[in-house]
Amino acid sequence: MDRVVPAGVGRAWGDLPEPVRRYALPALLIVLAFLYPKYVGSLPGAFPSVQTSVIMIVFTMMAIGLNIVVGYAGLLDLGYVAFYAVGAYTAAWFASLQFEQTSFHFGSVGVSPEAPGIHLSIWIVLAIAGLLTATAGILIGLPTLRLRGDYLAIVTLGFGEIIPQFVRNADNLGGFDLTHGTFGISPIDSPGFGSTLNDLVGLPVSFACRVRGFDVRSRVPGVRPWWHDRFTQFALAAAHEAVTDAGLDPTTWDGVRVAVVLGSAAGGVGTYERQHRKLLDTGARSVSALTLPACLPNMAAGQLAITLRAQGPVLHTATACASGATAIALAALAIDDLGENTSGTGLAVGTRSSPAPEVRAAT
Amino acid sequence: MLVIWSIVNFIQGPASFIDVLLIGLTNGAVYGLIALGYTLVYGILQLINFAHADVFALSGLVSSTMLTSVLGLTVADSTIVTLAGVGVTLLVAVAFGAALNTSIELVAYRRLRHAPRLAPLITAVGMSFILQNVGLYFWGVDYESIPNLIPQTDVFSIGGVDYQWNKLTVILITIPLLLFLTWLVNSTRQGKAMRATSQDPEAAAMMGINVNRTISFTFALAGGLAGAAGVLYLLNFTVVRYDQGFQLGLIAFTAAVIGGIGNLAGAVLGAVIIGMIEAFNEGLTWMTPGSDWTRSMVFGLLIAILVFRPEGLLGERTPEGA
Repeated sequence: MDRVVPAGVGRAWGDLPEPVRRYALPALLIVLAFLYPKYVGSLPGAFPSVQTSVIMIVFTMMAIGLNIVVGYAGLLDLGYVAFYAVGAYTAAWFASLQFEQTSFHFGSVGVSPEAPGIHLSIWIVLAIAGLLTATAGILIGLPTLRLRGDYLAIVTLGFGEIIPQFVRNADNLGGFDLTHGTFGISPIDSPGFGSTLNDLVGLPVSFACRVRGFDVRSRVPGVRPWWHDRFTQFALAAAHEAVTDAGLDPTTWDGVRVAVVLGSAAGGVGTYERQHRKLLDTGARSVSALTLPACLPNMAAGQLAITLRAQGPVLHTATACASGATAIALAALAIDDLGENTSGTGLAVGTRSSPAPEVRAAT
Repeated sequence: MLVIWSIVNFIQGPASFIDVLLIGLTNGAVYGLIALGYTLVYGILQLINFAHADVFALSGLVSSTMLTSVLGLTVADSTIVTLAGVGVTLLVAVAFGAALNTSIELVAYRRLRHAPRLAPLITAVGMSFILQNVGLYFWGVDYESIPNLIPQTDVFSIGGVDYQWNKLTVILITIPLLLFLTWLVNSTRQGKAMRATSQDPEAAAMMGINVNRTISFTFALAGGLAGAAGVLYLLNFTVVRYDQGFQLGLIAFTAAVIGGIGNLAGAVLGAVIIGMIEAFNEGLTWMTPGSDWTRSMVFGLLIAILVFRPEGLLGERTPEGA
């Protein structure tokens, strides 16, 4: 075998006492894996995201399990992944809103106590999933393990077909919804180790497009973030990026011939929520004086006009999900009307509920 | 119980019962052609050729290109032109399937003949993926469709029982193929060589049989049947897609196992049984679980057969069979 480490390192490693060799390296690796989310951001180059590494570890565990069945026991199991499904549905049954007829909480972290359904602690769910999957394995194994070789492979293939179909159809077992059919069960409670790993815990959201670590000052110099709601900051950053990418320079253009048309169905929700909470928690005097201007939906268009030195018409459209398209169409019409030497900017900014804002920009 | 269930369903609607029976028979014939390929290969190599179904799907794609782009057949063509075109396509598809399957054996399985059994099996799964991706690359993800070349008009319509030309064509092509295959395996020197090789390759080689050539021939035969099945499927359903092989292959393979893998008549019997189960379950109304559960029923039957009669319905009990 090729030496992957220099001989000196190998000798030094060999000189170490046996317990160190046996436990130190694994322990080091475990610590490194545990702390991975903390330092992945500062690693040079493209390292897998935390999400990807979780999937990697899941597949590693499945490969180890498959190795026990196929490798050690020599049983060719082509339906092994069905047990993965059993485990996944166990988690879905015991830590989600699935059985909303009941409400049972035990040890779950970060789930609202009023939430219906069964919510057990991740550790208990782990144990139950292991037990249920083992039981499923024994039940399937009882009749099939008499078979050998190819025949076993075929039977497991058969189970691998039956179990997905059962899951797909089990949203109506005599009126009882066990698996929610093709829609699947979502959301499943997050592991809940605390608030740092996942602050979306408890929200019935299955995915969110979150913008992390956003600071408008790094993108639009001279803007004071505390004056504006987040949706205005997104609009500013996106519009400045668009203007730069288009090769335009606001310091040299004829401002009177520049118009701003910006579409956003809503705006200022985050500011509203924070200030309202302040009002309830600490009284009226602590509410910011900038609450009202920050919440005006057309404030993004206005701020854009100021920072881009646009002195033509400044319009804002609010037509639900079509706001952005309306804005672009309106801008195109305006350019047509004003003649070809006019530049126009159409910007679409969408804001969802405040814990998960999202921006889409088009110019 | 099964008899009572059939009788009640028959009384509920005699016409639709026979209708469904004929549909089951037709689908069973297509499954049977694919199942025979599995059974031929398994009989001789004890290998589940997972790539077989993808040979079927690729042949279907090739014949769709033949029919629409190369020959350019349309519904307006006269019967003779259509028949000739379908005949040519059938020949091309059979040749393509045979060549493809033989080259798969040559490239992938031949070197692994003495490897542990898991190795060729996994290789077969890998070949299946490769073929699917070849189909995906050349034909894309969309369904390839052909015009209704064989008219879907009724051959006969007696007392509400209808049978269409496109279904009859399937039967008309399948039955001669099956007879030809039976003759080939039972009455020719090559067939004798195949049977000898499947019983004991080493002894067969000692008797002067060219084992490699026999195995190649078996693969060609299986591939040819898959090619024919591809054309028939296409004529019957008018659409085919790169991943069509997977589901059909699983069904056909199940058919081969239910009938007793390695046994030619068993494969056809198993295929017809599965075609019937599907058709009855989806077409009849009294006490049927409905199409949502078809697959579970088919594979449930498979598991039951394997547990209680692992050698299959027509198979022979062998020492290592169970």
